[in-house]
Amino acid sequence: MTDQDILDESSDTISIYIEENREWVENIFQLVFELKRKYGRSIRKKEIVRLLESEEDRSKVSEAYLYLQNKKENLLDSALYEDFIKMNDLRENDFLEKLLYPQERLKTFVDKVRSLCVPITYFSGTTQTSYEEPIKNLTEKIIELESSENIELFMKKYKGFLKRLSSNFLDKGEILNIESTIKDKLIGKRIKRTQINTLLTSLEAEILSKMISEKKIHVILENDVLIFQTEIKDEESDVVSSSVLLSPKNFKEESD
Amino acid sequence: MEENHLEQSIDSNEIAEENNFLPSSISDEEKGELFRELTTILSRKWIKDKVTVFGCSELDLLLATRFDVQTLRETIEEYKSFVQILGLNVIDYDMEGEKWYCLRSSNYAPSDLQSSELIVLGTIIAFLESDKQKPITTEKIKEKLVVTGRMKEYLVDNSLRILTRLGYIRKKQNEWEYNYRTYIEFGDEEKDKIVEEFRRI
Repeated sequence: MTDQDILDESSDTISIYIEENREWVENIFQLVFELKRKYGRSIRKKEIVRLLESEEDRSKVSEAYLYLQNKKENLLDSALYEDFIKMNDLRENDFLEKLLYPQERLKTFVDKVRSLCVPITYFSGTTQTSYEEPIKNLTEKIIELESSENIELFMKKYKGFLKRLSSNFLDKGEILNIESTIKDKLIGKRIKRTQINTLLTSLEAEILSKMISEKKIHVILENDVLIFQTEIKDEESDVVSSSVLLSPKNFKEESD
Repeated sequence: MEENHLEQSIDSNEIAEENNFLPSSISDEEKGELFRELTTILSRKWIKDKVTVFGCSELDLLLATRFDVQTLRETIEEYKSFVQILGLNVIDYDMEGEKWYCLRSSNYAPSDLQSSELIVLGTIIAFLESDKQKPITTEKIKEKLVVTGRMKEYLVDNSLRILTRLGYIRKKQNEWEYNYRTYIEFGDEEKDKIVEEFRRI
């Protein structure tokens, strides 16, 4: 008996076996087809099939190659095996990614988005370029204040910070108005140096400073007393002009 | 009568001269001047209706140069090859139906955005790309980023504000959508990659 004869015989027996189990073969093909569909969809949607389930599926079709005959069926079988491998890769990668800290994962996400972005180039205009120390530093501090007294104390202490900052833009008319009120308040009066702080708001103080530098108002200091004048005598006109720094304490009016 | 006739003929001559003002009739020197001005115009960043915009609209260019559309586009084509040597690209984008031109580096350029803004923008892109039907509200973004403890709420709010001002996103009836700048700076492939990466955070 030659080798060829043995081969022929064995193939004969297999084919007879398959002939007998035609229905069984169809079932196997159906199973392979359905699993291929399931894994194909899962991989496309990046949904992970659990290891146990995947192993069970694999053992179900591990001997399917014995029953599948034509080329199309064999191709489907090999494609299913490829999907098993891909699913395994996906599962492992997912597991490894979960070992990273969430902040690090965010950071890699940021780097990825940054590298994918091709920004517009500009050479003129306002820039917003600033170096940053991101996310890490942004922590909140919760201050526990139990009694209402404490809260009041807190508010008093941090009054300056709690006040909303705003920049005022005044038009010419408003400035003229303020100038006239300053003149009403100050001209021709003798005011103590310590008193002036309570008399003016910070806005008025600023405008007063401006008026002095523009020589609309003249100030003379006489032994701790300030004299405000609009006109000045000739012999006094050579005084050195200087800027004035005032620190008004008149908060109440300002908030109005 | 004669004077009138003369005036008319002068007028028609002037009109003819204006119409003849084509790129072929521009001398090299004038062209150099024009290109220099175009670089200045297209590389500027300014604010229009509280949103940052870049470059110049086609209509403004037409008004400034007094070209017709065809001539302007030809000039810009020529200008494109001129700035390509410098590593810049002229790109056009659509803003509320109007065509705008601006410059973009063909290589790498630093982004305007900081980390927190990139996270929020990436989140919005990932949400919008994975399911275009679902509306993206601020709550949804916060659900993903704030509730899970990744970011602070004020940081998200601030980032959204900055992104809106810089022209990346805009709000329409409580839902976020792309503004012109996202279309320029992120291609379709890049968006897909962002979706892929977003799955991992």
